[in-house]
Amino acid sequence: MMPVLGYWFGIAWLDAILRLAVIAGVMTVVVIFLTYAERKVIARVQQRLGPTRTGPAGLLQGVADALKLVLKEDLRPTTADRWVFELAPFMVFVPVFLTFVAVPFTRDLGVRFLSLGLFYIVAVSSLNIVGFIMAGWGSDNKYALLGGVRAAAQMISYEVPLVLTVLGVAMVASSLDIRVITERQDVVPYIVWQPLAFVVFIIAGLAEMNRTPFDIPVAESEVVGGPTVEYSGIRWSFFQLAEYSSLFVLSALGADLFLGGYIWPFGSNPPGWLQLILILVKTSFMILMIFWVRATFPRLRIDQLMSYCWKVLIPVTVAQLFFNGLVLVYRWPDILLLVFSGALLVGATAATAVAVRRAARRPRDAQAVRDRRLQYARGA
Amino acid sequence: MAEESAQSSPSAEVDDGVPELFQRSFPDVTFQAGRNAAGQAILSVDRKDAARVLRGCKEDPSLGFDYLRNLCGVDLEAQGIEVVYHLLNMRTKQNVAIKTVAPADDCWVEAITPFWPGANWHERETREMFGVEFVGHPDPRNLLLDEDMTIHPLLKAHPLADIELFQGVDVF
Amino acid sequence: MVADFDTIDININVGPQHPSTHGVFRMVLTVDGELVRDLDAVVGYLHRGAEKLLENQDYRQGIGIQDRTEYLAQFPAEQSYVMAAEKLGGFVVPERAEYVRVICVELNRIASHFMFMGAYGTDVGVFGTSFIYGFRERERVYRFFEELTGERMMYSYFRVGGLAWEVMDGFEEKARALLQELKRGINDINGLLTRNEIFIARTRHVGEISAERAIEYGLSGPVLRSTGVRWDVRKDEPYSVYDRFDFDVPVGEFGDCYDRYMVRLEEMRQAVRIVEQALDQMPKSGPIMPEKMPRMLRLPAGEVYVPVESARGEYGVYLVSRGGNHPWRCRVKSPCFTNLQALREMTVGEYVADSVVILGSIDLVLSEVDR
Repeated sequence: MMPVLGYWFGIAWLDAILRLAVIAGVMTVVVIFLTYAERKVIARVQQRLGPTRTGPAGLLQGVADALKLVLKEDLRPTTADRWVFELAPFMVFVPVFLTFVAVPFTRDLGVRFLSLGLFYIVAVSSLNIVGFIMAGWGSDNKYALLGGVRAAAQMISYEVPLVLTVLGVAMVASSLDIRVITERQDVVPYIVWQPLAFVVFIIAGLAEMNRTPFDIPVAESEVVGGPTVEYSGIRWSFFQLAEYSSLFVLSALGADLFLGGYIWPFGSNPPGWLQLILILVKTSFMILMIFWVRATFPRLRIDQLMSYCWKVLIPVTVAQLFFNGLVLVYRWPDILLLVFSGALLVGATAATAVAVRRAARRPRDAQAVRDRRLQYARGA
Repeated sequence: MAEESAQSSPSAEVDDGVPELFQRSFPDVTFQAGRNAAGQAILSVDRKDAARVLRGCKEDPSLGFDYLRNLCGVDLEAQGIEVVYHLLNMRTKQNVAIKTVAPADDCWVEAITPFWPGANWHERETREMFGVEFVGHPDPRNLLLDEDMTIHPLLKAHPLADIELFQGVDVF
Repeated sequence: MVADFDTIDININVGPQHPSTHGVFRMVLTVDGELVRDLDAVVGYLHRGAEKLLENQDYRQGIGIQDRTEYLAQFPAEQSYVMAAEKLGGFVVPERAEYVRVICVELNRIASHFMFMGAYGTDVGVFGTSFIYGFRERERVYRFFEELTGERMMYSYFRVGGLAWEVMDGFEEKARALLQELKRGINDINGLLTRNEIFIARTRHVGEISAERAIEYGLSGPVLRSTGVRWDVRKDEPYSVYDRFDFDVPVGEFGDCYDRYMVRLEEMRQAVRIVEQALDQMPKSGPIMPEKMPRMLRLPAGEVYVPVESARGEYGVYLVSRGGNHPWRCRVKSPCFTNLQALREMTVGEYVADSVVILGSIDLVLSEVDR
């Protein structure tokens, strides 16, 4: 199907243009319906109906919203840094679209299959930090600035555990080609061998996407949308586009890496339509889980987010890599991968829960803590 | 109207010993004692003694009136502005209202905010509403009104119905 | 050990239009990065001169103004005002009216706390779920009140001396059915927030204030009780018929945001208990107004300060009468106004994200602060 799309005409540049058009088209449609799905899912969690009026069962709500955004006036604050402000949305959404290139949906369906696909995705996806900082700085708004700096700190920090988890999978599969990784899971998906990696992948992914409970940079109740606060109309919709595209790409990637993608549980070579259904079901599962998290969890604070990353996620993922290495080098039985990873997962979860509860019970001298913070921030 | 059968007489005079307690604690201050309709003690003091008495209320454990329930002004028109402090002793559950009067032409009382942080906004509000200057208040800005507003709306002299006159005219 | 480069503090205006200032409230935060260095609370955007209005309207009209002063816990505000007038005039309220008042006030307390739970969850970052849960339950109470009083929010149902009119048919059964639903609603909120690790991490040890400072600031209500001070006007200076009910006064331990939440949660359960007892004890029939109430109410000269335990704390009305049909002075001591003074002390030294949580934990109603 797809890999031969442009080559039907035998023209390389036409091929490239066609592929780009496919990305843009598919992504837009996907995003429109993801926003609809999110509103519906969250509405149901909250005992509401969600959109019902536009089109059958409200299905066209996303389309209507997209139209409205396109037609809206594109405002720019007079004091904003013009180029930085106007380019920021593109810097946010282009990297996300670029990651789409390397995600295989079925064995044959994908824009490009790269032998270093995993590496490519990890490298490209972290570029949009620049866009958030640009938006935060260029808006000339203190909320935006605060949000932009928060975004930078958070996304750089959470890049590390994200890379470490996909590295764990890559080690087990001994490949960086996502198609190869997926096809190694024809019998057992990697969520079984690397449960810790799966959980941390979702957590770090949520943080990368600025989604609840890590929506600190765009926190509605604190910084009122953060970097996007001054944007309107089409430029704002680019941020929205980027957010939901990365949600889709990350879910598809997670499905490929951990849930057996388009292969498991139907043997090594299911028919093409079945592959497509499989990947869509698994991606939807990931997306639903993320929506569910969004509907129920409060938001962390930036310092808690950081300490959670550096004190919990990175140590356990590094430990998991270490154990993976031991198992693979000494050719211990595969079940030990599960044992180590599972033990780390249970241990880290329990330790976090206990630590939070213990800190909650322990009295402390509030004034001393505040004074220390104030002093420390002064650089004394 | 007291002849109506639906009404009983106001609460009988209770003797909670609060006026005597204050007189013992401040022998050199003259208190004019009274009771309100709920039978709680009202003590009027001269404004030069007010801050001292209030500081005693807060810091003297034998008095123990360390909870400021309310602070407000009352316009007495010709006599000036009366500032009322409602205090509570949480242990003995006794209430007392300390009153002091600031004459209209020399309208100030001493602020209690320096030692009683809970009085801060109440004093600011009373100041802007009645024009009572709270001497020694650390932050005497307007609170509820515009920062450059100089009228004092809760004075009886300030009309309610004629407010339209003030709008659009450069009174402020 | 920290880098020696210079940093500057910036001022951030949070409000008056901001999603989490609960109305038109402004706080000027001076922040150093994420740390709050200073806070200046600016109130008054909703000042309508309620006290001046009260001075110029007769006692019956004043009840309506009390509703508008405290628009989330209207009944306690009305109660405080009519009780002050009753004390001045020496009216004896019929027992049945007192019970209906208690039921209304406690249901209103539950409704107000549900509103708090919802808004607080949103402050902490739950995407609307707690909000919808809270509003769903609050709406049940409001529907009940609408049937009782004809109004959804501005009830004007209490009168000096009693109640405006007899309760609707099936009052008791409807109230009991409502309580069953509210109990479920309380459990829903409890299940959503109370034991969530992120919620605990966000609110525990945030915005702490000690009991001594709380008393110095004159804090009241759940904010005071969260510091461990067991002071509840209903319990300690019983008014109305509160001395006939068996209920607990929940207190906190640390005086932080989590304790304030927990105190309110427990208060809702206690309010349910009170309403149940009130429904049991309530005389099934009887007058709701004293006989021979004067048609135009004129109160004798005098003054009285009547505090009641509103949903947010001690709501007091200081009524000064010089005879005649309207008060000479009516001071409304609103709990939020006093509690809000402590905001600066609670917030300085915490993080920006905490400032909205602390503000939310005070459960402020701006119309009551600004009056």
